[in-house]
Amino acid sequence: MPQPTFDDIRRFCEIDGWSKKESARGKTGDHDRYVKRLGDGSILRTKASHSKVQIGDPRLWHRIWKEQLGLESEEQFWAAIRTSSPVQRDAEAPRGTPDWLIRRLIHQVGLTEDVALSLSPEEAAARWERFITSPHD
Amino acid sequence: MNSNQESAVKPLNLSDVRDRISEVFTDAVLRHRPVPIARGGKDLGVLLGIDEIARLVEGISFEPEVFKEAGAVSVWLPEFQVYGRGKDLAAARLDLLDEVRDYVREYLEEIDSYRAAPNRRAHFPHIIKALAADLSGHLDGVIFADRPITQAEEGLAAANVR
Repeated sequence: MPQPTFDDIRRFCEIDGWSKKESARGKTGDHDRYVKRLGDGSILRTKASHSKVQIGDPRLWHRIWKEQLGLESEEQFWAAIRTSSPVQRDAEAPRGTPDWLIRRLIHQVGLTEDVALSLSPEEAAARWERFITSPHD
Repeated sequence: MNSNQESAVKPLNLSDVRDRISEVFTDAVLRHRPVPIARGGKDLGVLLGIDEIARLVEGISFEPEVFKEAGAVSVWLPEFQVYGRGKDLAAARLDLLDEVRDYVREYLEEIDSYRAAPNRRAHFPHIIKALAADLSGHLDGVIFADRPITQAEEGLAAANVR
């Protein structure tokens, strides 16, 4: 699949019903900023640079479509562009526990991989918060 | 809180704080003594100096990921799901710091919805970490763990094999 340009991301956000917003600090800067709120309360955020260049690194693009756009696959992005139809999100919440949180639960909290992966995103967040706010060496 | 048990330190009433704000502030910030404050017997808060807050979030860290491509470098911050981008690593780092400041401000301005959002609520400890670091002028050092920008790092980004 091709790497998208920032124009593609901007177009996706328009098709998928994202709201364009100013930066919280009141500046427009070099980016357009977009936000989308899902039915379960999840908040998605992304930005599209004013430059028309392609996002050349597939690892960055992977994080953008997965973490920022909240998609289950890259194909969902291109299908939305191709058909000009918004993404059908299952239960409005196609989101598992983020990778960084799984890593923290294993390496810092000390959970086994099986236990960390079995937690729901809410349980994982609560477990991490409990660890962070408890005294430990 | 069990009202039959007396707490170790009796909270100050908000009206007392108003009358002695300078002294209370000095206690918390310069003498490093947390000051519990109560309003109406049920709303409780604690005034802490920035040093104490920094100490509380000492164990929290950021793990930025650097990606390099022809003509651009990007730095992804997994803890906040944001990235900075620029023509080189220094520019990308500056752009990321700008993104982080923007995100912290947005999070705090809309704290109710962000604290309730399933994909955002776990960010809160890192928000406090970033806020305290930014207020103290150490945001760059905290995000990048005081790593200097080196040619080796640039090279590592180019050869990133994660």
